[in-house]
Amino acid sequence: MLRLDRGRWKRLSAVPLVAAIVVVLVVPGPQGATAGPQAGLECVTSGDNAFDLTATGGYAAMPDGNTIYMWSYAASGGAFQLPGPTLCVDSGVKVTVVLHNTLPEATSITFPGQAQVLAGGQPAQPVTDDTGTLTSLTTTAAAGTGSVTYTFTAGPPGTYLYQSGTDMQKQVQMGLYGALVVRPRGHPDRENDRADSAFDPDHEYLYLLGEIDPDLHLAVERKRAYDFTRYKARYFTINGRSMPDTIAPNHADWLPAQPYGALIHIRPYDPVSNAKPALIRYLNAGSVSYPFHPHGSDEQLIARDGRPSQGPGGQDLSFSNFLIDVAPGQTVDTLMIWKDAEHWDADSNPIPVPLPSLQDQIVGPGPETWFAENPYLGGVPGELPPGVVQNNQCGEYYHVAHSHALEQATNYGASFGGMMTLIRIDPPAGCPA
Amino acid sequence: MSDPVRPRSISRRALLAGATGLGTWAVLPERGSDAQLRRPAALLPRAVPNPTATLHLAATDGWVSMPQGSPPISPFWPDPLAPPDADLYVFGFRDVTGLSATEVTAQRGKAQISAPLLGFDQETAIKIMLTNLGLSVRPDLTDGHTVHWHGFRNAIPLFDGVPELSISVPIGRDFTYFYRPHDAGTYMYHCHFEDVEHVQMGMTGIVYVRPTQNAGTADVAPGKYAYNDGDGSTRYDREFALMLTEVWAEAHYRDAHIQTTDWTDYKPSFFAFNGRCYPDTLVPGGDPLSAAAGRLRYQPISSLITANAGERVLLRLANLGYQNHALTVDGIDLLVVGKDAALLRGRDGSAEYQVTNTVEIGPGESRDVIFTAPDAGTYLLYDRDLMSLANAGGGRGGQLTEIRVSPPGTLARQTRANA
Amino acid sequence: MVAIPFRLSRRHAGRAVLLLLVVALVAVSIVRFGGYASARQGYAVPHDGQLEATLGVRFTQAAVVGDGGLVELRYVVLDTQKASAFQNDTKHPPRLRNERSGKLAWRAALMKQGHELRPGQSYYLLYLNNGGAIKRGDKIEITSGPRRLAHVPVR
Repeated sequence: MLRLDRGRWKRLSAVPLVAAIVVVLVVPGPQGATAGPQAGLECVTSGDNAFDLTATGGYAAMPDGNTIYMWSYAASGGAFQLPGPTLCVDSGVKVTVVLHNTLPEATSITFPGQAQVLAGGQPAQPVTDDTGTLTSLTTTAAAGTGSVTYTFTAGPPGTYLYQSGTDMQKQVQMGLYGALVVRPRGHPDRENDRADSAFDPDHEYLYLLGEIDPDLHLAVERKRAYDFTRYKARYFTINGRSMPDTIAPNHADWLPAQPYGALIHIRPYDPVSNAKPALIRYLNAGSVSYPFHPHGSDEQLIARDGRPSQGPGGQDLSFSNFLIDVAPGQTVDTLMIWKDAEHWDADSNPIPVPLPSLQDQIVGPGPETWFAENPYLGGVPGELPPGVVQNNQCGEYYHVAHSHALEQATNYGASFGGMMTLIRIDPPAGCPA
Repeated sequence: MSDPVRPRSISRRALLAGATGLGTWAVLPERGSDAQLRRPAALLPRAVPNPTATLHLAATDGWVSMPQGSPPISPFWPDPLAPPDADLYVFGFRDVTGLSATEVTAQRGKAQISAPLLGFDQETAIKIMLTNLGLSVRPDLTDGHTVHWHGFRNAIPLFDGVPELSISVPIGRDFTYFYRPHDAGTYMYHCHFEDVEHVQMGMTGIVYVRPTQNAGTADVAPGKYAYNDGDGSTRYDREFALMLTEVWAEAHYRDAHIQTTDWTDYKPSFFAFNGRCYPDTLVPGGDPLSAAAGRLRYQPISSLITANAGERVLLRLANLGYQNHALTVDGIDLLVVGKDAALLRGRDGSAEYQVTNTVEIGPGESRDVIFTAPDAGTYLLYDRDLMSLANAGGGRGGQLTEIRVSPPGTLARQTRANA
Repeated sequence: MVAIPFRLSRRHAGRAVLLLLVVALVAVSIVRFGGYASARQGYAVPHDGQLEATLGVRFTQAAVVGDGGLVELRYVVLDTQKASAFQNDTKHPPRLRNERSGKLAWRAALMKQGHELRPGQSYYLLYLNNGGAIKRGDKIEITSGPRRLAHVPVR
């Protein structure tokens, strides 16, 4: 018996080993281009809807070379990240968030839009000190090693912020914020319970907007005083990143603490093959409104602050926008598509104006530009002079989307940066890898 | 002034005479890019030739004038480099349609703010040629220029005017943009080359699209409407476009004096309607080609609103400043019917019009607002952000204009916007 | 010497196979992931003093972004005047050549970042990555006029 078993065990143990080798060979490396979705909202989920968040410090990289000391959250077993992990739950479930504090001061989490939040089993309450001065909007985890457990029943489906409720002016600006996505039960492909909120789950995006005054962060890092009357934001971020980092992949190597990209990547609307819109979840973690302008397509505003745009009788009160002005603390959810309205085609329906000759446009260099500047979606390469390497071009389109308070679309004043990202539109047949 | 730009080859009426016979106008979608269409998309009947319009814009720099007597902002304003009758360095567009090449070149250094007010009929094939005349005060700069039709739906990058993602027009060259708008409403246009600078410097204007419904449908009589509303609820008698902008005098000075600006220090000093600050907002419209306009020659667009009592007045409001503004009218109810060139209706047709007396407009947003002119008298339309009611921090000024209502039948029919 | 035939018992053979498999797994894992791990920690762009003296910039990163559709080239400004000239020279921007395949990416975006560049600050250019000419893990050669910078790793 025993011997037999041992022999079988040996034979059996060889199988998983071989399998493991095959898996290692087949699975792409961590930098493999196909490893995981490069763009789009990434959920942290938990079987029992219990999450561990550790408030801690780390560094965020800005595109101009500056490095900013931040406070934010690390997920259980994970590293510091800005913003905090995107928590996804179903409406109506019991959610537990355990906050561990490693910061040198007390901190807490508020869950705006969630009712009856408990802290340690008791209703979460504002905190005052001995003199009656308000010190926190909600129950805290003590400095250094404290922790607190928040529980609540996930509210109506939609998008919510979670953020520090303690010394918010400083702590939220330091980066203690994240997104909470509540999904309608049984309909993961809807923003809310309405059928007209359906979206393509492969095209769901997070725009968690914020800003940074580097002087404040330096003061906190060096434990110096900071005068808030001198507050002046210099960096403006989507998901903790500024353009061009916003279009870098999720989990890009060079942004180890800023894992979430903000590139939108879609194909043209087609009533048969691509009928479902993309969903964009806007959240404003800053202290001013961010007037966000997507180029190339307007967006249908279907919900704010976790509430659908609807009348008392269920009427659809969503509306179309080319500018989504997100107020501080507010969330806005939009559906977006891009339609090929004119169906320009180099042969059958050419654009009705001439492309300027190469000397007559500002983009260089040489005849290759024509090639790169093909105006047609999925356009085929133009004719090239001899000696120039000809690549197959996919001919995808890029549009910008950015804050229209244009000083916010800069990296410390340098244009084409800051609160800006791109919308990529592939040809209907897709783009070969 | 080029407003309104009329179809050139075929009159709108002739076109519509052909189209109404086909009975297709009533099913035109209100917007082209609803996430879910509630009506089947209908295009212009192919049998009908498309109306066309062409326009020639020039981009350059120039000098304009803020209200006289405003407190100086030393050393930035008034700018000591400015020619007589001017005090502020700007970039801007000019309408040079129909001018000879020599005449066009002669407009170098003669930019206007706000940019020419443009109006087109829906479904018109529009060609806008942009010529870059260069900067007369800054020959060291090689800035390109573009036209970005802000809010144009389903744009392709080549005609979207973002230089980083398509092309921009170098000095001495031109490029023709093509648009066929399918969605009525109030839009903006601006240069997108180093937008934080060029927009602030004045390259901003309003462009609006008149709905096909203006020709009449089975449900709606021919007339002037803001949108394809299907029920005539956006009908109006007179229309006035107000482009809201801010002027940060320090940045304008730095541009003229070869210095750089940290744009995150943004702190505007003047607040304008159509490139003018009160009381200049009340001065009648002018013509940049005519010296008769005097001090405001290169700020030709009036913001004075006039109507006969009982008439319906459409305000086309757009904000290309970098701050929110809240326009208010004491004593007149405002009906907000459109936002961002879209009728305020849900996808199931539910009305979302709002009655208010304060309309908040964020940067890059537009609103279409209709009011009924009350009894004869003068009413004020102003920015309830009271910080924007000053010129360089002093006195009454900024974003303020008058609504002058005359007794019924006093004013003749309006022939173009802002007149 | 009489050669003794080398024989393994079945049991020994089984153990050997298991051992070999374990070694193989470790080896394969190192090959697949080890290189990446070291590349991640040690990302560095070669420096060329002459190129930096000519252009007034130091290239610091080449990365594939935009879901593979764009290549970002980042540089830090060393000399304001030269860097501004470099940035404004839209007729002769650097081009990127994939050293593995020979494919090219041309500058498709102007990315003018203001009239004056600040020394020590980073700026960027974006290129259309035609047909996936450049992929993560490739090495590229950056050519600007007569100056070349070879073996720039792409991440």
